[in-house]
Amino acid sequence: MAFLCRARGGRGLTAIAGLLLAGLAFTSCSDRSATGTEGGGGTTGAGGSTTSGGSGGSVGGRGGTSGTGGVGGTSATGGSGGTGGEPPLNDSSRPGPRPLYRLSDSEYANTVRDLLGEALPTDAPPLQPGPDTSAFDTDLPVGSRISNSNDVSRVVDNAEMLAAQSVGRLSLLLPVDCPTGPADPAIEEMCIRRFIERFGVRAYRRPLDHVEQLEMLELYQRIRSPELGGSFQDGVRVLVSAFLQSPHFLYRWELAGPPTVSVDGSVIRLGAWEVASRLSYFLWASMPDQRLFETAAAGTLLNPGRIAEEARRMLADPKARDGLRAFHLAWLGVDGRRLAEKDASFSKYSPEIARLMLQETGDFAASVVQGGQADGRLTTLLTSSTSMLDPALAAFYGAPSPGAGVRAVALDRNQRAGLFTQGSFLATYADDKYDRPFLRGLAVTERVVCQDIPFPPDIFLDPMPEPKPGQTSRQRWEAVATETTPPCQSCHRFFNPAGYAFSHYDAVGAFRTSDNGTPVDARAEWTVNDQTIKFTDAVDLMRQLAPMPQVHECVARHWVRWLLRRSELQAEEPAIRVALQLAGPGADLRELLVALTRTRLFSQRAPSPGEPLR
Amino acid sequence: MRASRREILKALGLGPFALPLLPAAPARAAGIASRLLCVVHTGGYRQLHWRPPEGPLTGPLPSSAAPLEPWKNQVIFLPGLANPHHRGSPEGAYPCVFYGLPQRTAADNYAEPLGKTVDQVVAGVLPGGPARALALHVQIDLPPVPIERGATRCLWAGPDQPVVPAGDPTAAYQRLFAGRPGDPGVSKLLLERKSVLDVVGKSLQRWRERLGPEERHVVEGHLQAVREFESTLGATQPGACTVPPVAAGDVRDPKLWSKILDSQLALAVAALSCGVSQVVTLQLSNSTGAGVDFGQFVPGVPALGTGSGPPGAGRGWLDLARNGTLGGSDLKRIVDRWLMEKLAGLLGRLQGVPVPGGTLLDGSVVLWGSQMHDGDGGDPRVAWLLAGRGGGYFKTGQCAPTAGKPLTGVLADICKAFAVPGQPFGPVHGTLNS
Repeated sequence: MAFLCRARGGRGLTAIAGLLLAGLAFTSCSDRSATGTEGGGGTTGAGGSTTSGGSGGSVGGRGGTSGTGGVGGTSATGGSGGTGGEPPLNDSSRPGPRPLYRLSDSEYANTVRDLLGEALPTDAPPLQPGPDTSAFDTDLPVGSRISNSNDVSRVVDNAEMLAAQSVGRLSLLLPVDCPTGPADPAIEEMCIRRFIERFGVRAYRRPLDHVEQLEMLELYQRIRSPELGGSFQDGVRVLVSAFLQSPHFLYRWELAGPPTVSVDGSVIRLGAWEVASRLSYFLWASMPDQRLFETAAAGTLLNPGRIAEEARRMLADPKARDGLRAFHLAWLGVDGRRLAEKDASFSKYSPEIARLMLQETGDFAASVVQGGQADGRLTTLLTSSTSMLDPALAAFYGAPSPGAGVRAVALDRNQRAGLFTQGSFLATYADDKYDRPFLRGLAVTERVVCQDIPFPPDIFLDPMPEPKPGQTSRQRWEAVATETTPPCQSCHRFFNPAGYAFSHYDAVGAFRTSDNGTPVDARAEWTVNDQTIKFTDAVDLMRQLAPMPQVHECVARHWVRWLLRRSELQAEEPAIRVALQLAGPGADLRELLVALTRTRLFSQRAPSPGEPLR
Repeated sequence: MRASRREILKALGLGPFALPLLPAAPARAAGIASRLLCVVHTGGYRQLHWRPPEGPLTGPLPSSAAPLEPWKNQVIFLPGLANPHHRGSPEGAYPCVFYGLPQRTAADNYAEPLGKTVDQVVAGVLPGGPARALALHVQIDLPPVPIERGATRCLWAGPDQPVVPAGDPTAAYQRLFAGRPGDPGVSKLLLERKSVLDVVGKSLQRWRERLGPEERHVVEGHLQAVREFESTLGATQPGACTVPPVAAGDVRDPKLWSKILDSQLALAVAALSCGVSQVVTLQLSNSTGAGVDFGQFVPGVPALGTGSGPPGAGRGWLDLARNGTLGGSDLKRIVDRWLMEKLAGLLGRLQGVPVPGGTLLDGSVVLWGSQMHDGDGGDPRVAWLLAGRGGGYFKTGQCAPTAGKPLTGVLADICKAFAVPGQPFGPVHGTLNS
């Protein structure tokens, strides 16, 4: 649905004045700089003081006392690897606290797949009703809160379903030398203890402590008790269900033992298990693999060089496609529901095309980073006219068929240039029938040049009038920008021109040369950070934007937000700059991601206010 | 092997049987309301055809409200209530419709409350507490639905704590009522679940001690939700009431909207009558109500694609409010009346449940509300209905002089009817109390 913005009589300006007084930096859109360092983000504190590069030894490791037993070992923490807390890079950033967040639906599905070796069934109820996923200060996936019985019911339903399925693969879950059926009670208990220990470390992404192990064992014994009369398989099924319902599985907070705190209490060094999960959810959107667990257990994952080494390995792994897909969909703000809701008049469009569009974005991003042809360059991501298409989507775009399966397909270079001219982005920022230039312009403003536009307070959102005969979407929205009252105008005049660049694409992302019978005019001028860009269309706009340093910085900023699952703080800015330097002038995304894993933001955090440190 | 959810439930011995698992709710003192049912939709009503003259309901009700004729001694019309914190659009008003106090603007730009909505406030003082509040909805997630949280959440357990309703009455029924007394499969499943939840609860309890206040708040909310869920499992105990099985079919089939509504209402009454819950909420629409196609099931409303309405016009609340007249017929008025029939049916169900000293309706309060007045998106007023005497608190049988009075007064009266301490919504309205 489209709505027309207009200020509520007399109160809008007052409210804006209030924001000014409150120091919230909203003057008018034309006054805004492109530095994009809003910070804030709902978290508090800036991480306290840090030592400058080269010292930082107060954030000590654990003296190299390595964990025992590898994955599934019983030690609470792995050793430090003996680096003595050397700062990862010579960056002066001061990490802030990390938010407690829950696995998103896609992270949950990936994690279940990697934990149980089985895909989440298609009829599994969504763990999180969509709107709640975007409850925080960004639209990054941070999971919704579990706050009533319906929420718990979804968790329970999924866990029970997955657990029931998993007992069909018992031999894959249990230690190799354990029987999958009736056995001597002593052997059975030994096997269950080992199962709890080994499966537990993978489910919680850290070793279980003694109490946790004991509770699970007691749960198993209760299922096997005469009162419940459960079989060995029942016991394992219920244990798997319990692990999947545990907060330590559902939330990202893999702290094993007390945190390692700097002498002044302002910095916490993440433990090896936390680093392993941070790596895996950053790059794979899933749990760590066996090698990461083993490296964590050995304690060597606290070494910044080893972290970077693992990051390179992981970027080359097929599972990086999941992480790249998840990040890019989040960065673009692409929402599958918006893609699905299109008018029936788009006869070539279908839910299957919508699904393929989401797949295209993930596959294309992965193709820039992975494989023999990948150059890793941000410019390629933003301007390439080659995409990864399957035959149906190629036909929709009017491109040559790739044959069977998904292949690289050269699109018309005058029509498509990178991510922001792909169907997933274009159809998301449109309503069911009409493209919405202002939404596309706003998305480019916030996601490509990182200028955040605050929503004006106290406005009416009136129904958008239907287009007049021969009126293009651009003309329709230009009229809106003229007719609306000043608080709306100042912002729309700022970001609408960027949206006009996309006038060649209709509400489902198909290319067009005319709109409502009138030839498309996608030319405009857009002033960003005192620099005016003149462009002829979206392809031209993206080619001009791609090499701009502020665009590189913005992309790095979004990766930092993805890593932290919150907006960056002012004190964390140095890490962005350091990572960009390491990424080189061409902004090699692979180097950027590896560099980010070497920053303080990756391996340290500030305590949350009031967090017990012992 | 990949089994469907239904197969697994079947394998676990779950099925829609007839007896509840929980004992009936403890009795409350005479003169105090004991059960609350809140229903919310959008679009308001065509006032000309719905609003009776102010004062006692002595004459015939207007045409849209006529289905309530047999119940007019049990209802209070509340037209023209002011919403002082209306955000200028019906969408913006939706998340706080049963809150009404100063609000915050969430990250998605929708208003969100700074405290609990009335259902949660009342649930907090009833036996079982919030754990016994049952939240339901009817297809609020059918497209087109705005993606913002505030577009589908209007009931809140606190700031940033939306109450997420259940949209599948069959699944909710199974959770609340499944199982024959003595069925070993069901008993075993319930004991298994309780054992697992016990481990989860202990884990949450230990974990919260290691967190700062902000994170602890999240974990405590999770822990509370687990306890809430656990309480709905209850002890396996044959109850005194019998409820019919609820089956609604495909909960995403727009043609079944009316059937799902009936199922959810049946479930709500069953939950209230059996003591499974003392507070039930039911969302009939999201903030726009555009996903409903009344043409599929309301007699007199042509199906989509018929008639001469504006191109692409739907038959949901949003379109009816804007383009309600089609071929000379006011479809909005037809839908208003149809909804009142549903309300009348609900009152009949409540009246049909005998409880000591009367019927279920006598001790109940039904709040039937919309965040709109008559479909005008810029109108900050709301039109509501109350039904049930709430144990004798409410002076029913009137169209109350509510024009221009804040809606919080009604919420305050509801709280007073349930003996909620203090004045969480400020002063009462003043003319609703008998």
